[in-house]
Amino acid sequence: MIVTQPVVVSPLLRVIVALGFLLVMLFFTLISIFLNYHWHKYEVDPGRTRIQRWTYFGVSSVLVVGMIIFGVMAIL
Amino acid sequence: MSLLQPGETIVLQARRHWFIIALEGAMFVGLALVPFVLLPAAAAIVPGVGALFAGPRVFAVTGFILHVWLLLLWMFFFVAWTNYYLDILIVTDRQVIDIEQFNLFARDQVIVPLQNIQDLKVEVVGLFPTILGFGDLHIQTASSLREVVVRGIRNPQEVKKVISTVYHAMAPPGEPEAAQALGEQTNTQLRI
Repeated sequence: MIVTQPVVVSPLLRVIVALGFLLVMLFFTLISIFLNYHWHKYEVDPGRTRIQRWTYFGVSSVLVVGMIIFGVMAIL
Repeated sequence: MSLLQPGETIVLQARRHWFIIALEGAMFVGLALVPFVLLPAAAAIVPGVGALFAGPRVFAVTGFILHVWLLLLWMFFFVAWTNYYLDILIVTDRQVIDIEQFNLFARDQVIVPLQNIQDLKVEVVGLFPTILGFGDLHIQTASSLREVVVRGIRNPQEVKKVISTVYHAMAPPGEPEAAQALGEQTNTQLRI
C-alpha cells in the first residue's frame, strides 16, 4: 500500500514568491513604460524601432509567462 | 524632427559603433549564463545538491528565480540598447546636433551652428577602435561650451570630412538654392 503525505507549502514561501512576482511585475511595467516613451518621443526615424519593440515585448512576454507558471508551481 | 528649422536638410546621421553595444550585450549574455553554469557545477562538486534540485518544489522555485533573473537582464539590456540607439550625431546644412542619452532619465542635446565651429579633431585610441574604425570626434566651438566630444562614433574621419565639407559649402542666409545643392552633392542624407 502506498502512503502519500499531503504536501505542505510553507506560508513564507508563498509570501516570498507572491511578493517577488509583484515587485518584478511592477518594475517590468515601469521600465517598459519608460522605454516605450523614449522610443516614441526621441526616435529620429519614426518606425525604425518597430522590430526592436516587438522583440522586447515578445521575449518579455515569454519570460513573464514562464515566471507565472513556475511561480504557481512553487506555491500550489 | 523638432530640432530642425524649416527648410533645413539633414546631411549625415552618425551613431556610436556597434562594437560598443555588442560588448555590453556580451556582458549580459555572460550574466544570463551564470546560473546555467553554476547550478550544474554545484551539483557536480557538492554532494547532495543534485538530489535537492530533483524535488518538484525546489525545481519550481529555481525556475521562478531563473525567469526573474533573465527578465531583469533582458530589461537592463534594452535600457542599454536604448541609450546606445538614441545617442546620435546629426549634421545638417546649418548646424551640428549631438544628442547624448546617458540613461533613461538623463539626456543631453548640444546644438552647434556651423559658423561657430572652429576646429575638428579625431581621436582613435586602442586596439579595437583602430581595427574597427571608431573613435572620438572633438568639435571646438566659439561658444561658451568650448568643446563638444562625440564618443565612440563610427568612421570619425569620414564624419569630420563631411562636417568640414558642409562648413566650407555653408550657404549664406537667404540662399536656399546653395543648401539644396549641398544636399544633392552629399547624396541628400548619409548614414554612418
